[in-house]
Amino acid sequence: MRPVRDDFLELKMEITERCNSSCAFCHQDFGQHRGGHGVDTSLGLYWIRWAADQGIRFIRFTGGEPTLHPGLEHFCRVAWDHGLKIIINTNGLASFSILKRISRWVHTLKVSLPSPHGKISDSTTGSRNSLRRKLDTMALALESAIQVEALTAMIPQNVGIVTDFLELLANFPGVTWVPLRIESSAKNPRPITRNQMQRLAEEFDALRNRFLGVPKLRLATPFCSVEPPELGARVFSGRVQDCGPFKSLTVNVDGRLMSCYSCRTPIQRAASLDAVFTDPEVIRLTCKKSLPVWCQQCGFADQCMGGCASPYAAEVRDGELVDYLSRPMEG
Amino acid sequence: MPTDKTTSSQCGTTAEAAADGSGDRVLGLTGDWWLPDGKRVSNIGLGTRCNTPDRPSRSHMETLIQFALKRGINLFSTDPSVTGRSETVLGQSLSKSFDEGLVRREQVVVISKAGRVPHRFEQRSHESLDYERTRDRARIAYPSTTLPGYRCFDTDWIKESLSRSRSSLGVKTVDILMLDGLEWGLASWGNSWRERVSRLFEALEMERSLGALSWYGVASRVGVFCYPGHHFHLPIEALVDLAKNVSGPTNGFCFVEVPLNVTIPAAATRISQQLHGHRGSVLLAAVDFGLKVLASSPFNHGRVFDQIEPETVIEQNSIFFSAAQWMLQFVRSIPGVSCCILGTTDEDHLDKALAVCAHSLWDLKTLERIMSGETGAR
Repeated sequence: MRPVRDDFLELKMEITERCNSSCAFCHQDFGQHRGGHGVDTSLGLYWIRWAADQGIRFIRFTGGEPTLHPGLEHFCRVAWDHGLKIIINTNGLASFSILKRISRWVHTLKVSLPSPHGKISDSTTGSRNSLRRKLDTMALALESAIQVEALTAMIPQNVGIVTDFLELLANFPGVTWVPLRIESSAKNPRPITRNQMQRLAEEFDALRNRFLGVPKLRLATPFCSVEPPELGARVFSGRVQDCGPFKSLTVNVDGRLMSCYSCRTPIQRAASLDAVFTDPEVIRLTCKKSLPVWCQQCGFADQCMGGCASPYAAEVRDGELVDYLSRPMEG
Repeated sequence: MPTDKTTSSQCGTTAEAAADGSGDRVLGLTGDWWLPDGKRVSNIGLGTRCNTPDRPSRSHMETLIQFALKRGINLFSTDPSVTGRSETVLGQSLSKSFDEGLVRREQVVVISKAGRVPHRFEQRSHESLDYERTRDRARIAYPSTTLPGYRCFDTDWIKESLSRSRSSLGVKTVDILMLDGLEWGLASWGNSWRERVSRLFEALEMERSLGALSWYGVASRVGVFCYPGHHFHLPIEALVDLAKNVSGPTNGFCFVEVPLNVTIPAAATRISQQLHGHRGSVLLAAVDFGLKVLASSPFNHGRVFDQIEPETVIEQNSIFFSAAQWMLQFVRSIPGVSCCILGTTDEDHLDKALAVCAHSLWDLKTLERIMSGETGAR
């Protein structure tokens, strides 16, 4: 039996490694690979058709910066023709021209918004006037009736300014703010500390009591990274809610199917979606028994699943691999 | 004396409309309203701009437009910016309806937009090629005034755009011209925006005096919701004042078009506009300044149905609605909304949606119950 609801499953396709930005928080570090290659068109089309054949509803074109791939418009048209709903991840610094051309096919545009402050946004992305350009991109998408999500990697500089994000985006009804756990990478395996996460959780919790619609922190933050873990359960969404392979699968630029955008372990059994869910790696990531015993015994395990399973976020504790932000439950 | 939708319960049926001499087959939906010149307008309009990849054929759209006319819709919204096809099809359909005696020109209200610079579409049909030329002309003729967001509010371009719309539609007068996304202009013009907008309004008032245009307004999906101080903020009060300065109390600035639906109720709920030193919502500002509000995207371009099936039954005030009907009834019942513009290409969908017109608009208590989350979805 599949551990996911198929109607919510999404295929993320990394169609290019090229990027026109150098975001300091990028866990893929694509900004440093400006000459990076893109997915071959026939390979891209193969996975689009595969997704449609398997009954997957959403396809997300990501990268790198997907608008830099010359075949994006073609991919969108084919995906639409196959009945897929199209999501585009963008840094919001792309040309308006390509966005206008693909706008009629796109269901959701996910725009990276690293900071609500112009100067910090510029220094984080390495691009001038980046905040204004990102907001203009969102406005353009809203005018085209595209659903817009502003994705924010919650870097330590964003702790304490959650209200600023809410106020900035309140100007754009129809834009959903999606704060994300800052992901570990080879370059920066510990991008946020437990203390910073505690402050962030308390900030979210306080705002939830004051305002409607304060989102949860998305991606896999272990609930026990904060005290008490009930606080984590209130303000973090948990791995089951967001991460691959519960919610998505990923195809990289070489056309390899992977279990998770962050874990990046290739799936061997990729003939069909049913085969995918018999793959050892997928079973490992979705099975509670693969967690440490103390983690399995936690009341939140079904939602939290121990936090991020990426090897970059892992540390060895009592002989087991765990998310570095997690802490063993006493008793 | 015409009154607005607050007297919707007095608005008659088709038969009553025929009896009062205002029309035969058109008009008579509950909630009908009136233009400043007394022309009666249906509370639901049909948006004929079609930007979906699976756009319907001309003949399909012609049939749909004629069907809408027969069902009492007399307001049609179109847009020249995609390929110009939407205006041409609407114009030809209406012309056919006039010739067949279905309606008279003076019974129909046509809205078009100006301010966008057409962008390329992938099909290089003769239509899109023509509009590529238009786009290039806009960029060549007005290079310094083509703004981010594919906008150009140069007065000459707006006049030319109006002229093209009249030609495509085959009408002497466009009833209402909406300046589409004027906030992009304000965001780019800096401190000179008042002067620029005044020039724009002067040009539009000139077009009115020449009989090319009856009324005008702004269509905004972003700027009207931004707080004062934000670079996109579109201040309704200031625009009204500028129009008055240009042409006095009889100026033609009478309309605001905004998206309004159950998932984006910001026009009613968001306090983003200045009103005589206070703050209020777009709807409150519009009512206060005597503007008519056209609510677009009642189904948020179909996205509301990501959450609920259109045929889901919802009980409200002991009446059963489909989810689509309920959403339409919700939008058109909101105080301050003159008209809800429905974009559909399906005759059956339109027919089902228009069934809500058999019901009186909901009162404030009902709307408050809905806003507090009390609905009867089954």
